[in-house]
Amino acid sequence: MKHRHPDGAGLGFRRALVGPLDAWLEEHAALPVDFFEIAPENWLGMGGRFAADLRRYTEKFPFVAHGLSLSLGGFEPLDEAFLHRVRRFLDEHGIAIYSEHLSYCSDEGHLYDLMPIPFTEEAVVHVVERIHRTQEIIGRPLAIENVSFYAMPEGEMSELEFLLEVLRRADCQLLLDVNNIHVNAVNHGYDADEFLRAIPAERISYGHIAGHYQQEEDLIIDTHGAAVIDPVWRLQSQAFEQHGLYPVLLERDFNFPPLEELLREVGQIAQLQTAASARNSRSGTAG
Amino acid sequence: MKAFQHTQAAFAARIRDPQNQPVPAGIPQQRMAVYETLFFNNLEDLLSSNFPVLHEVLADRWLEVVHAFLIHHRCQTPLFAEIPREFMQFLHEHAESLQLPPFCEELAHYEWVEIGLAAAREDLASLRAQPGLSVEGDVMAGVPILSPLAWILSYQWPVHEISVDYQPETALAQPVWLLVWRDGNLDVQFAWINETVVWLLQQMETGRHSGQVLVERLAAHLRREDLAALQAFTRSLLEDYLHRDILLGVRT
Repeated sequence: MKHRHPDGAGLGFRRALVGPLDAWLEEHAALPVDFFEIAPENWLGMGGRFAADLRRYTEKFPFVAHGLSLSLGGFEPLDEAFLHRVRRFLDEHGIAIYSEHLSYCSDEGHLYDLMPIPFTEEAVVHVVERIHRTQEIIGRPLAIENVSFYAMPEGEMSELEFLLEVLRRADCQLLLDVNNIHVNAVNHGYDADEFLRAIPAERISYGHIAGHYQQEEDLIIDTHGAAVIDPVWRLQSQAFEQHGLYPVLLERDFNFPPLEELLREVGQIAQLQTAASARNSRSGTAG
Repeated sequence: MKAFQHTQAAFAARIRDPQNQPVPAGIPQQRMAVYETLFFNNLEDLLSSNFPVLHEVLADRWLEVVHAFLIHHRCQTPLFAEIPREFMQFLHEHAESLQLPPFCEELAHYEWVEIGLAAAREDLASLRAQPGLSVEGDVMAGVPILSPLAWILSYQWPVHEISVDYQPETALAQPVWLLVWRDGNLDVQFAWINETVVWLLQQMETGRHSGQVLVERLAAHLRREDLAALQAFTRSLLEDYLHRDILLGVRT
């Protein structure tokens, strides 16, 4: 299949959404979603109805792939056999972009959720090596995502320094998640605006936006199970202003509201993009 | 291992076993607890939705089993849909130390079958496209071919009847046989089958005998001489199975 690049405002593609999406498409001429994102770990190797559903949508819409289990920061050898399968999967579905978390999710076995990498020089070297190898195997640039975390193991640098160093040395792309910036700013007491300003615009491949659960005043859990809050929308708008336009998608992993509500949030991404694009062209004429 | 990797290993070890592993240096206990709860709940959610009856039957012991899974098992699959199989493997390998009711492994398998077959990679339409195979052919003259998406399963326990209120202590005198298949509409279907049908299906698995030969072998197997009745029985069974996509087709 020919590779298609995402653009505009997207939505995370989940099994639970297939029914509502089908119903929507039966009643409406078009779906106000420019692209979808899937986790290869939820679809790869699946046949039957799962494969058929996915195929129907990858034929109609551009998709990006967002990995969950690669464990870029892990200490066991990189799972190259798995990466070869991912590559075939991306090729089969015409997916141009593969992203993964700047994190680790395994020890000698998989733990299926994200743990924070200690921010050290040795860890930078280790992760950069693994990103290089990943890019070689998948034959595409990898976008790494800034992740949310709740505890910071002892390290030698800040999250921002670590992220910038990995991006520079790995020469890879960034999946920018503004919700995670907000979550970490609250959880670890740093300035979200400052973090966002320091992001190298030219590395941004696409973005995530999501809701979360505020458990305590200084603790947010990144659940992807609620509506996006205003401070995060403001950060997204700021991101477009500072770094230019890029495709962004809404992540919603459980607690699904009616599809209409998700589409409203996807529409809100599109509005921010339109507003930013109008601002950019105005400043373009003025300059 | 590098220094940061020791930190990583200690972090993961604490998530797996908060009762026995220390909180890694420099991390507040409450923040570590966020990870412990998140990871455990993730896994528990996934397993209880995949094994609802087992979850209910084990009741108070369920959480202990999930804990043991996290502590003792090292999942090798990166794929989320394969986690249930890792759990089944764990139940098998730790049957002795877990001391669960003896039907648990089979119950878990029975609960996994539907999703396992729903997600199987084989594709009926492309399997049927092979030359020499027809869905129109005569089932007695040609060789009936079983679909790879039809699984013949046997259980020593009445897995379909087990519930909170019915937990047998002894295995069945005779195993029960289950035929599970995925049809052309991609739906998974179940049928309990008797020993005669099982015997026929096992003969068909060789992919060599025509329907007519199957009747002759069946007659010898059952020591019966009323060929006409066996023939009528076999023909109607095979035609029904072809119609329901249990057979891929007839090789002529």
